[in-house]
Amino acid sequence: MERSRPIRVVVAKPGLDGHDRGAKVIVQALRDAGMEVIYTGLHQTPQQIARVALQEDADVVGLSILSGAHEALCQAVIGELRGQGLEEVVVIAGGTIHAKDVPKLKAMGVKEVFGAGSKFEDVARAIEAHVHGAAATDRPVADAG
Amino acid sequence: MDNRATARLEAGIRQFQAGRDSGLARLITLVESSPELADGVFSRIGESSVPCHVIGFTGPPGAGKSTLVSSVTTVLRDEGRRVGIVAVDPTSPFSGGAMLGDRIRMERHYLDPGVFIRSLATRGGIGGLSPATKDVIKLMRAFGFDTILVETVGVGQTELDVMAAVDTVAVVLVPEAGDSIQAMKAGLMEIADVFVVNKADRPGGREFKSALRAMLGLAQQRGPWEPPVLATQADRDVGSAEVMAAINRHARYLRESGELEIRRLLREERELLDMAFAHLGNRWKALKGRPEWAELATRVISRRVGVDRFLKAIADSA
Amino acid sequence: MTRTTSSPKPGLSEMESAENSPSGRAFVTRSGIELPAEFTPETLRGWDPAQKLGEPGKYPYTRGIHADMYRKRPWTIRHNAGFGSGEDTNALFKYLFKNGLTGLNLAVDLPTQMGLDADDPRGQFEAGRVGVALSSLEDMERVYDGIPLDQVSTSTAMNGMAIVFLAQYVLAAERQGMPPSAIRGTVQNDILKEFLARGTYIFPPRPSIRLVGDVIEWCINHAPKFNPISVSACHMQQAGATHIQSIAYCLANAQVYLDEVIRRGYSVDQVAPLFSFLIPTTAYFFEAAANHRAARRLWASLLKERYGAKDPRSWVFRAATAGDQTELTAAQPLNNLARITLHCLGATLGGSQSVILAAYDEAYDLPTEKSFRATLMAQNIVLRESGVADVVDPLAGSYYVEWLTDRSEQEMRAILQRIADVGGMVTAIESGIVQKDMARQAYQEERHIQNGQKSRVGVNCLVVEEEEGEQETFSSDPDVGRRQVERLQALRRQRHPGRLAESLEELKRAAQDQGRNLVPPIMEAVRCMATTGEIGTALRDVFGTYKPPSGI
Repeated sequence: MERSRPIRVVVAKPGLDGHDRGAKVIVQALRDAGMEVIYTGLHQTPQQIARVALQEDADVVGLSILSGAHEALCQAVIGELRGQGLEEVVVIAGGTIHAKDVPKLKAMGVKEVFGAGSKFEDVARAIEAHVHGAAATDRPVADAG
Repeated sequence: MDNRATARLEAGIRQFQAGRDSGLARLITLVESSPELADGVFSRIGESSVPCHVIGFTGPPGAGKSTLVSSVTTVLRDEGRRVGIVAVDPTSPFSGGAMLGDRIRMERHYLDPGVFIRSLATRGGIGGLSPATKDVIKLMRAFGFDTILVETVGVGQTELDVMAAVDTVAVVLVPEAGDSIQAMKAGLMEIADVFVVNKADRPGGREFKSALRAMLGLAQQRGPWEPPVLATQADRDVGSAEVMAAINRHARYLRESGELEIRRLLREERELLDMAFAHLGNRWKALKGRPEWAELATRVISRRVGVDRFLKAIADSA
Repeated sequence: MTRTTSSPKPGLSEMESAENSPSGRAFVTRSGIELPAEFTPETLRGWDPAQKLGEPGKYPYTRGIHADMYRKRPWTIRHNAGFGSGEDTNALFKYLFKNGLTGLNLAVDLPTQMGLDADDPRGQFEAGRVGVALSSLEDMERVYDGIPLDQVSTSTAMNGMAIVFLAQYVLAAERQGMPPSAIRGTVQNDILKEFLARGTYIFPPRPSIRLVGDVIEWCINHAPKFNPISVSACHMQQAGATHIQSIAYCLANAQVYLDEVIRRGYSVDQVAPLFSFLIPTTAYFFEAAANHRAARRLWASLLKERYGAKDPRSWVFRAATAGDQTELTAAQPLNNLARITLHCLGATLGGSQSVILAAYDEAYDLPTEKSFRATLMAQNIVLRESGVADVVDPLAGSYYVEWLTDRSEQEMRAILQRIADVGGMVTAIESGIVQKDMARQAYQEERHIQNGQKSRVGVNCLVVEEEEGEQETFSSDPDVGRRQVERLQALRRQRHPGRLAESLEELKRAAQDQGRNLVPPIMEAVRCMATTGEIGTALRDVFGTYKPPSGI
């Protein structure tokens, strides 16, 4: 029987944009969905975010971006994660991201994009699906037996 | 254990032994989620020859513990020491989730390869630490850190676990808090090896410091060590070097007085009992549904059967 | 929150939340004030209009700051604008003026707001993105090319770097041939709300407040037509404060700045008239209007009673009003036009001097030319067709609105008292209590929308499936950052290195001396073509940078 452990999520605000209402709301929502959420605070560089994800052994990195610079910032964070050997970390993005940009973000490896007004349930369920989906290949949880 | 878990464990151990942070990070996750794996892990990674001092920071919420930890880390890094940080925040009793925000205050160390910060949720621990904290400290020790800083949850009342997990306890207080005095009455006073009055520039800082000294003067000493009272403004890195100097003096005192050894024995005793209780608890969970065991329990409680027979029965049932 | 063994700390505002209402659907205002179904003459028994309202244009200004309000002076129709390079913004400004805009709000990019140059790695990807890059005096001149700075009134959301903006603005005017005494405009210069909500802070609170004071002080002495401060409530509301809380926090912040300048030996009547405010308006327009009226009355009384101001201009709460963007939905964006119109009603029934409304598509992107225009026209429709502007304070004497105005004032006073009790706003900010309250409330509000307790048309009721991708969207120029970097590098090659270095050294010396106003040394550095980033670095070297409490 597999023992479940809380999913660990790093919620980060890359770049200079300081509007963190959305980030703080999602931190609380994921906490209430049973996840352990590490909030990095504002003004994070892609290197800092990757290093936090590494030390915290994060299953997921959630990026909150309202500055319009989501393409460049997601690309940079994913690049840094790969550089740290963290290819398997699930990257999701949220903020003011227009539908037309979503395919580009997904092509670079962002697994999900959540705009303003996304339901907490949907976000939590998508994260669970990605983490446990990934667990089937290379993110196992420990076996209690 | 299935193949995937084995693969993850093996990869973690390999990376750990190669000195890679990712290995430490993964093994922490493993021992935290699956304590039964811990024995196997520890017997394989071995021990570090580097002497290590473990320092706990406790105190009421808002005292500035994270900021102080960050500031002290800067002092330690200037001395060339390698620092592991464990920051504990509470698990929500409703959802089992947690918000881990302490590291925000430690941002200046994010990219320093000589500092490793790990946030832990209490996951049911009620003494200000999580049940895995001691194992996490052991992993960090084995990884070669010479200083480990442990920041407790900070509810202020029931944080006695920290005493059993670390060598030196720093109790962090702030001047304006009537809370702080309450907290001290509630037992923080007894566990402090060093007192830090943070945000000491606030109104009443000086008075608070003297009141604290006076209270300490009245209190009974645990031993020859007199806990010093230090003032800091951790957000400006004021006083942190003095805090570290006091902690180092305490470390020397522990070694020279033999108390280090006494504490180590006490700690081991407590850990042994904790492990035994945890083991017993798990066995009992599996057995208690059965009628014959419920009956035995009733008889033990009513003193008709000795507890030693009860323990033996459980041991034999394995 | 989850620290079960400690008693929960009371929040700064303890209003009933809809969640606790036994009946499920609670009738409460946006700020959580519970409403009876009906108000009657009993509601206002003992209520004295002479004391509570007075005459329009007179103390306590409940009915408005001018005697004849919009009949003589329609509100200023403002819009946020500014992106890309100086030329892009300049062209946009000229276009907007042609379309009925009477005031400019200049949006500045994030690196500039943070005191970083366009080529700083910390701001990579963000130069020219959410506003125009103002890396140097040259950029400022490009923005205002052909726009006379003594005639237009520009308002700019610069805070941590407001002092650099002022220096660039004054020198750009000088090159247009105008003395500082002629320039008009407003700089936000409100750093405390950055710590509380907007996150664009640079230095720790205390040196930051000094810089705010330096700007105000310099303008008192040299630029009397320029508004050196506009204190904002909007960002706190966006971060999760209720409408009432946001205004109370804003008034608390304003008093910190006022005290800072008075401390330097100026009289309250020299300082207070320079203050203007920016408060939010919501679709819940009766409350938006009532809270605005309450804020006016409260500010007047604070200034007269507490500060002993004698000059009526000190009592006046001059305010611009901005629509609450968190109410706008990404779903069915055209619905937002209705919300924007209600925002405009809330602002103007409240007696605002100037109204800034979002574009209907701002919930997911920068606005397009078409959405810009629709918002401008919505304002013009309220102004020219609704009749709101035809009489002074149309809601005066309404049982409901006067009751709400009184409740609101009481609530704001209670919040101000609690902030004073914890040791003032700076201490509150450093401890993070206000930020925590706001984050918790924002989460609760989102939950109420998601579980339907709070209606949001098109989101949790009357949902219509729309085809995706039918919206025209603004496309930002991907090259804008690169071009800005090239310009900056060209600029750096043309400067006199000795003079420049000396001006920056002098700035650092001045910064170390508490008694010196930093506007003159910054102006000298700008004259020597120091960039915004170089000035920011010099100040960071002296003041350090700020790290916030976790806020959750």
